[in-house]
Amino acid sequence: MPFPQAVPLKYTIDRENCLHFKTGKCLLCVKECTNKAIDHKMEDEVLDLKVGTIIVATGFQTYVPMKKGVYKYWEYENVITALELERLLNASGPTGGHLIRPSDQKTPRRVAFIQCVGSRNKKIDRNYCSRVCCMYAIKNAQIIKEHEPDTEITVYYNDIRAFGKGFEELYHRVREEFGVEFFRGRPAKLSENRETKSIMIRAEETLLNKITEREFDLIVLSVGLLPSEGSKRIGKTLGLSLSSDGFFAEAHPKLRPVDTATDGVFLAGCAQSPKDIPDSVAQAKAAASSAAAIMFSGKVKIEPLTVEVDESLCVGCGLCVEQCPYGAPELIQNEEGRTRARIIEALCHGCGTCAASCPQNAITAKQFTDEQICSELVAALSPSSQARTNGKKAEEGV
Amino acid sequence: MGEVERTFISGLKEELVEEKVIDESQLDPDFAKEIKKYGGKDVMTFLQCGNCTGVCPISLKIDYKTRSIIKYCQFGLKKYTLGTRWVCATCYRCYEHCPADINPAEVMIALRHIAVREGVIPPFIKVAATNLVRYGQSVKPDEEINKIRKELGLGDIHTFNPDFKKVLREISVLVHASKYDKLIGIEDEVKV
Repeated sequence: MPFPQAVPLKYTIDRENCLHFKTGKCLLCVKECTNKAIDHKMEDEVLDLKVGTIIVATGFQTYVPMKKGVYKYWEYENVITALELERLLNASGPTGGHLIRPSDQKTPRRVAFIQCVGSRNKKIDRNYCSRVCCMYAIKNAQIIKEHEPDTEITVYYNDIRAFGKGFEELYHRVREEFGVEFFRGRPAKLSENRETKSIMIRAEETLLNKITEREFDLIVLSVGLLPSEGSKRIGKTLGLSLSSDGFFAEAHPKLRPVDTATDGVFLAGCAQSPKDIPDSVAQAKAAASSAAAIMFSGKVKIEPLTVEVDESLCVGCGLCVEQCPYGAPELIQNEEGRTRARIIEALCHGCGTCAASCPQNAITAKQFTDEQICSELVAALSPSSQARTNGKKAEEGV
Repeated sequence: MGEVERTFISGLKEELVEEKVIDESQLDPDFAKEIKKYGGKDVMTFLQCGNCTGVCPISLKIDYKTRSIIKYCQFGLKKYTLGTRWVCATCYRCYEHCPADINPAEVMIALRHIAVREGVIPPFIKVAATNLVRYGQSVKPDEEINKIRKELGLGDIHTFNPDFKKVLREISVLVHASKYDKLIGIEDEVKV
């Protein structure tokens, strides 16, 4: 089993250390397993599946601190990321849940958390809040305090964002019951004591308006969340767009947070934006039910507003095929053997991109033909309508 | 100030340096725009994280808090921003570290522009400007400097050299044309 909380909770074979893969012998496990569940001959295979809907839940990766950054993650031994601390505090982790610091394996007495590492930073183009770092830092602070009540813990924060159910209460608890200190200010400089390997943090306490220098045994960087590495590739394959932060863009940020611009493709979890476990579960259930609703009805309703191609004008240049965000136009050979564009109406959303780009004006959008739009414009710009608008503006006092 | 208040404050031995209550009349809502006009970035995007103060080499020696100055700018408290902005060495270290990607050093330069236009000019600026017009450089050339120059193998600075006079004349014309002399208050020095 990879680790106790693995999903799915199944045993796997460690190929690197298995005697069978090393020497070609052993196979004791196969003899012992009463369910005959072990097969050493299984190989990775690529399957082609025909599916009705797709849920994209590719997750996230954590930010890796910069090589030459301020926080010296690569230079000082006692600067670790929150994910590494999580392993140290884990009961089944390498230390059995006992907190030690990397340089001398002693229990640290003074621990500092640094928030907003790799998030809320315009310099590195990460202008979003990762949403989970405040709460996992507070949770880890509580766990450390429960294990070692003598530890002094300081959290260097900008803003504490305890927004979820019960989060604010936890924040108050670690302050009041556990005595965790919260320090408002972003650390400016970290310097290591060569002998003790302790680290001095210089930062401005912005609420006191004073510059402080304090020494800590262990520094934990609360790293932010990044979009997972293959986001761009999957986005290209499925026709999904990425928002400015690099996560997948939803169809509407408020009203359709699970849907995407491509019909039948849904988003769940951190693939869409950084979020915590309850939010991820909620979105996953929403995505699953949205997908099921389409699959079980057996029919898909589409908008009647599509475009049509005038075959006598079309020269088959293929510009519409390139431009369409939904992949609706295709090039076919007509009876006379000439290449012409055809619109697959089930895919078309009637956005009009192809109609606007067509050099031959062969494509028209239904309900939005050139004549209709021109007459609308003429009516809107006519003197009588202008007089009306001006009159209205005058009434409103604009 | 009433008798009771005075007794109370003297009892606390606290100096009344700044006004204790800031009312609306002191706020200048267009101050951020004015800073933008003089080359600073939008101070409203400032996060108040305190990184700029922490990295500032001057703030370790002098009571000079970059973050709080920008907070005054955000509020539009012009009065508090016109005093000590001249200590900023514009080393741009704050800009290197700023997560909000605004440039505190350039805001300080903009604040200097505003301060000069408001008439808040520290004496050393006048001295430097006078030196510029008289000697063509902001530091007055004297025996000491010429001695150091000699040691380094450089020639003396001749203000009486005719070529130099021509340069000085050009500087004077520039200073006069840009009305810099009027702004700083050194009209008597510039003879055009």
